[in-house]
Amino acid sequence: MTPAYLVRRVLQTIPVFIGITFMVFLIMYLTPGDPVEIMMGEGSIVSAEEIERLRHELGLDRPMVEQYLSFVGGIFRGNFGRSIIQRASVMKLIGSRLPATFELTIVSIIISVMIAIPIGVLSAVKKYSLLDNIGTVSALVGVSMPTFWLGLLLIIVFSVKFKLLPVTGRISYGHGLEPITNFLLIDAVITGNWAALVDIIRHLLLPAITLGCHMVALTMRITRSSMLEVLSQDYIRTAWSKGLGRKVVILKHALRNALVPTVTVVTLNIGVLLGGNMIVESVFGWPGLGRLVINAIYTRDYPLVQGAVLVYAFTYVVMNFIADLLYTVLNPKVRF
Amino acid sequence: MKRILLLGISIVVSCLLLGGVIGWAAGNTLIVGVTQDVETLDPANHRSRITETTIRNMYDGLVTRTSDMEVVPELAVSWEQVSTTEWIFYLQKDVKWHDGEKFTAEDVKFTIDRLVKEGMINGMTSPRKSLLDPVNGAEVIDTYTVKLTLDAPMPHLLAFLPFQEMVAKHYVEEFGDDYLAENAMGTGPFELVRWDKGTQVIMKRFDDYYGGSPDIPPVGSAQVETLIFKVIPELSSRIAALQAGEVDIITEVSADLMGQIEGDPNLEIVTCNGTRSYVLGMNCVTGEFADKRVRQAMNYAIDMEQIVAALYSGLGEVIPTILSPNAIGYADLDPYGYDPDKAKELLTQAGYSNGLSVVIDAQDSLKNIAEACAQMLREIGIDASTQVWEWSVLKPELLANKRQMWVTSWGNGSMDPQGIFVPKLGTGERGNYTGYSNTTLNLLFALSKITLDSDERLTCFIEGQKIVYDECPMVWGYVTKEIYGKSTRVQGWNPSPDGKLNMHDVSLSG
Amino acid sequence: MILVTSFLIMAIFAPFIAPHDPNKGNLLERLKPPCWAEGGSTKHLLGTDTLGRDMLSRTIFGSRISFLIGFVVVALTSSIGAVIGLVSGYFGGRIDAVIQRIVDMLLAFPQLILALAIMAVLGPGIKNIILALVYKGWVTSCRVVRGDVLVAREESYVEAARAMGASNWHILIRSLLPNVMASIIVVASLSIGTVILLEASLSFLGLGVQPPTPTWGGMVANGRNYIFRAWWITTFPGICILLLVMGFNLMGQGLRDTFDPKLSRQGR
Repeated sequence: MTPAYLVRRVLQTIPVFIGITFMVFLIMYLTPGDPVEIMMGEGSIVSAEEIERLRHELGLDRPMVEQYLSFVGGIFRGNFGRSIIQRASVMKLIGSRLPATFELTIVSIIISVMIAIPIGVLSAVKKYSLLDNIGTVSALVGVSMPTFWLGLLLIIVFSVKFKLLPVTGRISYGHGLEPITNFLLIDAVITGNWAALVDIIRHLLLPAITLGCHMVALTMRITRSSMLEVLSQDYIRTAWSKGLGRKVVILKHALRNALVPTVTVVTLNIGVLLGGNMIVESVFGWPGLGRLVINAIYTRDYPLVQGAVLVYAFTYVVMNFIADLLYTVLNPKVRF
Repeated sequence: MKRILLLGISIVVSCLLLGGVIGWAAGNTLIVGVTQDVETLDPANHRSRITETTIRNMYDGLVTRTSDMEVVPELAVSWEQVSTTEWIFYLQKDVKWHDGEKFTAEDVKFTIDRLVKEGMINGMTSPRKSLLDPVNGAEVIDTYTVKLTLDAPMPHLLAFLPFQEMVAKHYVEEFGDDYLAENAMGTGPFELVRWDKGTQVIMKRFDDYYGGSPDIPPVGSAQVETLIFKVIPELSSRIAALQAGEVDIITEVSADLMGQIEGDPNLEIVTCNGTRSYVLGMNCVTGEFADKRVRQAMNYAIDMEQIVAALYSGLGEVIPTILSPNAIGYADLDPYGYDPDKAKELLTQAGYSNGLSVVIDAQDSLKNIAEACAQMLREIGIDASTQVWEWSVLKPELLANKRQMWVTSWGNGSMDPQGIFVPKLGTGERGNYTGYSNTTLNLLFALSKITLDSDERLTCFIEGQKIVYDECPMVWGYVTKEIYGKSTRVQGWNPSPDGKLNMHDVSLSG
Repeated sequence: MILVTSFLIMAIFAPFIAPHDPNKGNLLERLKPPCWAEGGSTKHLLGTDTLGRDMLSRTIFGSRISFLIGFVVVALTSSIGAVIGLVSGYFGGRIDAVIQRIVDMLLAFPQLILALAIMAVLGPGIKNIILALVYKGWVTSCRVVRGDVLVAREESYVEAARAMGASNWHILIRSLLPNVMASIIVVASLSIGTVILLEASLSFLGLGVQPPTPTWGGMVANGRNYIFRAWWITTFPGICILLLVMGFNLMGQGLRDTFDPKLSRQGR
């Protein structure tokens, strides 16, 4: 990973971002429907002049190029504008939702990895065993289920039938936890509020499992196959023949190498999960970015959609970059 | 490897078990499960019903409504109309803001001016301006007397005041509009604890509350200590949360799912009359439906009684025109009723004996109704299909008279014909998608706006309904009941037709 | 394979198998449970939905749309992706750089948001769903094909063709395309499942296929509010989606193992 490569990587993202600003602006511009009309709602009294005045105050009556330039200009000044419907700064709105989204995504990945890698490894070591077969089938079911269906089934089983886990929200009220970072898990640990911590984890479990289901399947398959490949390599055979212990061979020698593709896939999928969790958020009433964006699309809240897409794109690019980095760290043979 | 797996499993299991021990936050906390989050905590800077009704628990208005929709005093003890364009309001004394300051006429003037004058909120105009349209400002007469001045008479002014919530002049001037948007401060029975965006608004009882409207007992501080409005968009999840005891009241239950709640001994269903009228609009300008006989045929061909019975479990009422039976100035006419033979006959008269082809448009949420209507039209030989649209895309098409027939609904929280009859059927009004235009009707509407005699005003609307009943620019539909689910421990709460979720009087047992 | 084939047969012969008209309902017979449950009748084997339409017939007809969307989208994405990937990988240089930046851009744009926005521009409908899914879908196969081409163009047989004076297009079509065909097919069969799931997600968000046309995704999405009251509305189409997507995934994995041992070792 030479400095020159780093610079090139960063430079490459510039046209990508310019393209994205243009694309998101163009799509929103072409979309029929008027945010002001939507905001004013149905069933109440609004005059035509009032609509015109609001459109003017929001700059929606200006020519397309001018609107685009002021949008891009705003980004350079670090200003994404004001939401049309909620009338607050877009940065602030997105900022208030990001912690919840990240928290859910990260926990979901941790859970997935904790389930997927051990099963993947075990099923590679004991190929075609009962565990391997169960793993294969459940991985298939995992990738084949519509997310919202899975979410509702989990709610029925765990919340309604057995009343074990809460249905919605991030935390029950009454633990006296005041948000500091808005990453509630961190807040609970900082303040040492253990009851709140348990409550937060309980709220996280169902959405995180729902969200992570595809990820578990994917990670499990990849770990299994790369593990199988590594186990057939010469140096592992050498290790066996040297009479090293089973655990040492599998964990120290094989797993380390087998993890390379797994790590890449996991990192790349963080971006995908972030963009795809709006359905989970709806089902579990999770206050994340996805729901905010969907509402913004329906209400034609242009500044909010634009801001959110840029945030998503940025996360994706960063994750991609981290994936490359990890790849070189884990596998010194790879050089860019 | 196995150890990691075991560790993971044991964390999950211990969380499950611990949950049973810790339980939910019980005590004197009332939690309401609603469909959407509030947009802002600034009562003047939104146009959303859920925002209005949620923050109404922290802010009071000059007047309020009983659950029978009668306008009664709240912050104003009484009022008088001194001329056609001037109203004087006499205020409650000894009312305190949540920060301990006194509520005065200055605050009313500030609130009203902020609503009706241009550029008052961060340089932008309040989107609620037109709700009070002829009002041009307010004048302070003395500390507890304030005068609202109007550009033109507004006989229905009181109907539009309950949801104009009072904000504190000193507070907004000191902290600014952006601060108010996240930090509510009113005179209401509850004060803000925290707004977790996208999740919940948490409020606690305001102990120095002046008591609220004297006409809505009990007067005094709120009964519950903590009040939470929790956002749960999915209906299934809302019901699940109610069953699991996570929330105490939920809104917008569908008639089909009432059984789920009724079957649970700890829960019950509460209903009230809604204010939303469902109708099928027809294009009165071009195409087949420009012919009145065809429009009447449609009114005979669609069995609204059956739709109410089947899709709403009978929790609704078929209406003869667009006004709901609870509205002011409702004309008691006989709905068209289902008569397929008459429909066929009218179609033959109009020259469509071989049937015709119709596309019924609808939003996603109303597509079941569109589909049910299409089925009925197919039964009398009309080639009917449905198309689902996003409302923001469909609406301009309708206003341009490009469509044929569509399912639509229009809520009218004010219960005044001015809030539904005029905007839906007056020529050139923004809710008039059918393109319907009738000179006599327009004259009646004009008269209703200037007359000072309230009986004459009502007569205008009743005569107007007779006209549109016959001309039927829409297939008249029905109003449905609003259905709420609640836990039996919630006492003293009645839903009200304007959708207000007033939690001041509610107490919790057990 | 058997799963996919039997669903395919079901889709083709839907009008002959289905006992009722899938779009004709009777409001008086709505929400009837399946025949084996209490209150069910043999008239509607799998019960009826919210408008009294026969669930069995709707489920059978639903397979048609799922197949249609799955096949058309994947056919389009893999051919577009293959062509662009071939060009990008073979010519390299500036063309490659521009194409790859566009691919980056599309990859960075969350798929569901993009599809939603496109659906909002175009309005709902089968054609538009296909467009919205194709718009981004091609980038996956493009990336895979490009990667293969980058490797293959250094191989001796391409060098040989070039030395013999073959034109670029000749090399692309005759030498490279057959070589990358295996990965195209594998990626395609794996992504059919994804496409079917995405259609379900769009239905969930209210931008699915126009009613009354039955689609599995739409049926699960619309029935979700009835999951307590009438479990059968979501369960049967849900199971169908599960089985079909599973079928395609199994098929994809099978194809991968036979066609391309190299790919299968990468585990993708």
